[in-house]
Amino acid sequence: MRFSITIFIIFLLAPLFFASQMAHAAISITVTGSWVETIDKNDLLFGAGSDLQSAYTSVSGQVSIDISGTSGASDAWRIDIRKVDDNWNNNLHPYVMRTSDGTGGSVSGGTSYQEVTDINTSFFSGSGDVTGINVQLRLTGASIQINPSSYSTVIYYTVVDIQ
Amino acid sequence: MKTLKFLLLTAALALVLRGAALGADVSTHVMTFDFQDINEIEVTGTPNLTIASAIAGEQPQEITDNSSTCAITTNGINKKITAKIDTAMPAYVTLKVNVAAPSGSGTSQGYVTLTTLASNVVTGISHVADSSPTITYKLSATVQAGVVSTDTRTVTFTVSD
Repeated sequence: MRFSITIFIIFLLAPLFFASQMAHAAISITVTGSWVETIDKNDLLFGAGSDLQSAYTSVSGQVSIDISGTSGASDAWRIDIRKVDDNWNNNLHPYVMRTSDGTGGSVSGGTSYQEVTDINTSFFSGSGDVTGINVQLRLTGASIQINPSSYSTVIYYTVVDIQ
Repeated sequence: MKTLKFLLLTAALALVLRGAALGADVSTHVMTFDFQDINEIEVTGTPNLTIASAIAGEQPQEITDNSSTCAITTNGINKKITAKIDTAMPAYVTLKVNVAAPSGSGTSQGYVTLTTLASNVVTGISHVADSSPTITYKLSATVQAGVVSTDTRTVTFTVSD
């Protein structure tokens, strides 16, 4: 009797288990690109006697994001961002902004500059597989008060399946 | 009954863990900003200094000119401004320069005699951008110099460690 119940439960749960796997397909994010900016005397606002320009902006498609592995056009997801500093100066503030929709599913939000902090925050959302979502990068806070050095931070993009 | 509970618990746990494992993925990119050394100085002004009078019984009267300024930007620490002339001054003629310290940083060395070797005129400059420090020149001579024809000197200012 007990054996029969066990078999019954296994057959009852198995479809649920596999259905769950389909709903939560292996959604994947691929970020392509990086940004290296040299800041030197040519960036002084008015030459000697003046400060550096404080903001620097990358080209529109400095970074491209692909979302794949969704279970279909209605499989919704969200992208969170945060930074992990390598050698960084806290006067510097990195920003990201989505500048294209890419091709495939749909995306929304993220079309104004958003500061990247050490804490995960929502960037934009969408659904389905999407390729070629362009992102523009920005840096503010540059000045001659910052010691000469190479400052680097890693931007983490986490795609969360919210279906 | 225990087997049933175990199966239910295992299945529920598997569903949760599976969902969590497949529900997120991470990718990264790097942002790098290379702040290079900036040590810029620019001088304006073409001062003229003429010694043409003296009080009887005294040496010729020295002349000063404060019509020049320098603009300086540095993102470094403990920098200095040095000054030198391209050729030596005639015998018994002395040219001195006094460069004011940039606003909020550095120490002026006061009047410094210019030679063909670089001399410190401002020291201890850090993280500064100032376009207005005044440069004052002082020309003096003794009677031993005699009459000296008009001549020019190029003064070179440098920001360095």
